Amino acid sequence: MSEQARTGTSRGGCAMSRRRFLSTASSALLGAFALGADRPAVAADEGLAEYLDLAGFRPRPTVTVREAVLRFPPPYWLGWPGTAYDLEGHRRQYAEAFAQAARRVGVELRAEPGPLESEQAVNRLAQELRAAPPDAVLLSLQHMGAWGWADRLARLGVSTIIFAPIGTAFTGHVLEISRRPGVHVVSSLEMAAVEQTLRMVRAKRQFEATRLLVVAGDQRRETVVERLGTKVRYIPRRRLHELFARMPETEEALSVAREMRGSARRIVEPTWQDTVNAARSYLTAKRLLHEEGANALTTDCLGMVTAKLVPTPPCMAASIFQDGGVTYGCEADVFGALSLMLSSYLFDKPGFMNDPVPETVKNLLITSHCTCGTRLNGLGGKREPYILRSHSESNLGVSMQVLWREGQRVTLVRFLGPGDVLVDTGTVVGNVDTPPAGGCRTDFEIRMDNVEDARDVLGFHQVVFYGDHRRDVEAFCQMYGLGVAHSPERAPRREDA
Amino acid sequence: MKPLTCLSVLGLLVLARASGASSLDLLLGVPDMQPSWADADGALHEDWGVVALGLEDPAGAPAVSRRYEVSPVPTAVTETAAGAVTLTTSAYRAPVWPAGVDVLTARLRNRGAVETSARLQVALPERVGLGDRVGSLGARPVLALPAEPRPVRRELDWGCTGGVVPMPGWARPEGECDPAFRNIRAGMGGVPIIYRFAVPVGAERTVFLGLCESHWDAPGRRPVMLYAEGAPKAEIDPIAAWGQHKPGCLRFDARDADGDGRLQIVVAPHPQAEDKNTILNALWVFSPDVYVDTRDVLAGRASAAAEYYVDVGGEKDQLLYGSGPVTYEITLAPGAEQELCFLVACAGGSVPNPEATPWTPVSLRRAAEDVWGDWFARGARVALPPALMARWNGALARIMMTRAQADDFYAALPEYGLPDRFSHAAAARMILALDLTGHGDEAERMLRGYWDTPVPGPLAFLGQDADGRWRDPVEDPCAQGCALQALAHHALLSGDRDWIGRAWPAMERGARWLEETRDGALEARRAAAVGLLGAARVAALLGLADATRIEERARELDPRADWESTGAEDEAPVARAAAELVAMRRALVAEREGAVELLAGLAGDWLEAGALSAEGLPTEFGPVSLTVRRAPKALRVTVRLGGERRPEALVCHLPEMDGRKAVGARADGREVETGAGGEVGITPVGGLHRVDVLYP
Repeated sequence: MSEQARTGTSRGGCAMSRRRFLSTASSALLGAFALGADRPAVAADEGLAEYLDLAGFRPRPTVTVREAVLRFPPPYWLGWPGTAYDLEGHRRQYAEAFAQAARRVGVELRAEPGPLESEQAVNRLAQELRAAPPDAVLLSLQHMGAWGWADRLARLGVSTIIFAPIGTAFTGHVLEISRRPGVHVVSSLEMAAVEQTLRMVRAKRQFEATRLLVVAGDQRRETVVERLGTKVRYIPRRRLHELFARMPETEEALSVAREMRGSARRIVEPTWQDTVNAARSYLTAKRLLHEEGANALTTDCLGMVTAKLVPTPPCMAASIFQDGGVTYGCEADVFGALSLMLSSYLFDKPGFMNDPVPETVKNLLITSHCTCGTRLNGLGGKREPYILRSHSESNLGVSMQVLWREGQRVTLVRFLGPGDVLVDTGTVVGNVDTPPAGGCRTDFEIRMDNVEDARDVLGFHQVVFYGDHRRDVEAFCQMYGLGVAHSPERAPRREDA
Repeated sequence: MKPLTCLSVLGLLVLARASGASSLDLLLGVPDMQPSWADADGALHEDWGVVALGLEDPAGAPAVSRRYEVSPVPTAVTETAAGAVTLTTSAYRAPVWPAGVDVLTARLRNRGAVETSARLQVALPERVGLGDRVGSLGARPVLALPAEPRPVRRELDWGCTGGVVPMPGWARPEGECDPAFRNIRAGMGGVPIIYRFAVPVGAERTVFLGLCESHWDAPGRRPVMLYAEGAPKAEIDPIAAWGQHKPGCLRFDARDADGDGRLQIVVAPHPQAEDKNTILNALWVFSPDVYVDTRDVLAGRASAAAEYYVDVGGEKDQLLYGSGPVTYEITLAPGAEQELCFLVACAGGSVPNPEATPWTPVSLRRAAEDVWGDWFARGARVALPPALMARWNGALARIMMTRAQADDFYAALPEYGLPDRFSHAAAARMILALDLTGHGDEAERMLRGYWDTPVPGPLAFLGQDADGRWRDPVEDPCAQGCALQALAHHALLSGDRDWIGRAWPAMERGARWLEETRDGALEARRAAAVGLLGAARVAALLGLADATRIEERARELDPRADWESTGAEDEAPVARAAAELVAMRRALVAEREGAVELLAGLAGDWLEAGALSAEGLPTEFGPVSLTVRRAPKALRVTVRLGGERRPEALVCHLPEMDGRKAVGARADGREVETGAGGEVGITPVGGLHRVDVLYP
């Protein structure tokens, strides 16, 4: 059974959540219904008003990491890390740091009771890892000579993190193993790097535990994406707009509308009713996830707007979702949604899925779309300023112009397919307003790193998020067998025939 | 059905013609995707043809056993034996993105005491062109062979090793050039294009590769790497070199460097290419004795002089291997086993590139178990002896694999893809089975066409006309009653006021239509009466005055109609399985005249495992959960009533255990009288009750 069923993010059991059994007293029912003896006066869509906690949709699978310290029996005489090195002090210090990191990330860290100092001990651990593979194993080295053991354990096929604090490795030790698929080496004193590796392991499990709803077309089916293990369930598009049509203006909807308007720096086009509709769109999306037992969604929003099936695109809803750590992607783009999940699961940051626009005079990339999360610094963190605008292409409803911080380092990612990730980095130069520009509302310029000409930036619907995380993304890809691509550094030259 | 190639006359698998009744037993799929099926001999039937595994030597006997495993994944398992060798084939659907793939596994085992050789044959439609590891039907890869062992293959003098797609007419070459430049083979997803040519051992040859890029118009998008054996590799970006639509040739002084008598040519994706789909338009191999000018090759003036001239993707092209079945020679030590895993394209899909796919037999199985596991988990949790669980889950799986869909409307079909065989009577059983086992959501989906309009065209066959009559392709006179009964059951079991409010107008129209029924055979009148009784119950629950009138009319039509009746037995296996599931469910928990009855149909073999349980079975009184545990002289029955509304009575039937009749019972710790029918009654006052059934 999948994690989906185990963690209870689907309803499981008898579908009861929005169903309430009719009481025996028909008189009581009559009282609750509208008038008319011959017409069933049923309170329309009462069940849809039930509150659903957005946070409950973010997958929280059980993640288990075994931890072991590898060293030679002390006391040391010569050899790195050196006789003066406080072995036990550092072992305790790092153990505590790892435990705290694991708690923050939400990972169960199972540490060996003592350091492994012999072939027998390493063999015992190897047997246990083979018999009951955890999600990863974290090996902490306390002697340069322990690399052989680390190498042997890393070859077992369990995702392996090797923490080699400064003093336990030369370049030669890490040269091959640090580039091996399924392995990540942290040769550093930076504890944040170890925490990120735990987040990496958690992210992979979160991908596996995710059911992504693709609301598009007219068919229902469910498949599983290779390597990531994410379940992708397609459901007919009409499910969404029909549900939206029935979604009442609940207290929750009104509260969300008030809050979004109240926190906005400015409100340009959207009326109060627009905002209430946008809030209903948010409730609709939650309801749909709940009914389908899903954790993320991407919808044919543009198609619904084009066909005038909804009074507002789901941009504001998508923004709230992203801020809550639950992916809501645009335009039924499966790999766009997976890319949004990458920033959310791997870095706990909302990503911005966008259309890439060349600024050829300043040689910048402009990233542009009508929805964006606001808590760009991290889930649960402070919001960046935003302006409520209408959806640019249709001038309908509510969309988000989020103002990105100038000078902010950013990372761009995009799944090119199930097995390859495009990753680039850059720096935010400034925001672009509409007008004078056309196009989408959230619009900002990026000076790209290592890309000579912004016209050559690869991909479409890349996801941008705060921070320079190129190496972290590459590490994740290496750990889980994903290919990595970058936009070309040099503009291609046309050769004479 | 296309004939298969080269089935041994010594008795390989005999392929049964697809017939409705037999195919249903071995349906393979996942919910809402077109299923495949395995026939009596284990051959896999797909939309493009049939794949069969068989023992050629020693001569295989017809299937000696066949079973259909449903949990955790519908899987067809067939076993044949020939001498000491047994061949077990299993087939199931793996729900890989985007369209799924069927997994066909052959496990050979030597049960003898001496080493034995076996020849396993994979029979395919003639039209399938087989490369190194991929069999394709036109541009569609339909079969992936395992990496090991390698099959016994007959190599032609030259050809492509496969896995790449011929695309005639793809390119638009400008200027005078060989006509081959109009066509290509394409290696989608970075699959290299590989050709091999027979040459004398160690021979030298002059090779020309022709390329013409007609998709990209800018350099840097699709550079490729070119390898001709014995020559330095080359990189070329056709746009940078020649421009869009401009054909070009590169020359290689090649040599059979490894002395295998074959010259290998490879076109591979450039590591920095944005577009990793490889292309190749034309290929020439010349003897070194022949003087060749590149311009002549480009213009097509040298093709006649070539030892090999390949119009890649066009008419002068071929695969390296001859067509026909694929044969594996397997040697097995005593007691040894070997397993081969094949991927087979299912409807709407193709097989992934076996050289590049990360899918393994283990991860494929896990994906199938995850999807099915999640689906089963949404229903009531039931634990019964394995044979009964197989029937329980098997019925549910069949219903989900055969149903039709169109834009969020769904129809319970007695057989996949045959809407003209839809019948409301059969559908009612399937929908009720879903409702009673906790899959109310699925039941609701399948009822939408009964009350909502407009019904999409593909499912219009089940909709309701303006006069209240539901259409029924098989013109079953019981259809109307069955449709109304299905709606009523869902209303009462779900208690979903939102849904009832939306569906009631259609139910009311249907009831009025039935009320006007005057003639008809008893069976039709009974079905009408049953439907009207259901509608009356819903109307009563809604507090409508119509309820009395509707019930009275039902009694006029048939005073003996039973609201819980499931009607006459259906021929369609999936409907029969659904009816059996309903009966199984009611054997555990049933509702009758305001009471909840427990264990009314429990047979002795149900208690073989020592315990059984059911959690959250839907009833009109809310969910009911039940556990039954054996003790040497007693059965302990625990029941939990989860709804707000209490039944008037809880009736527990006292089943026989090991051939022994019950001699008494205690309810909630107190001795109780046993009724004439061998049951005890409890007035439920709380949610939890216990009955201890006593045996001598």
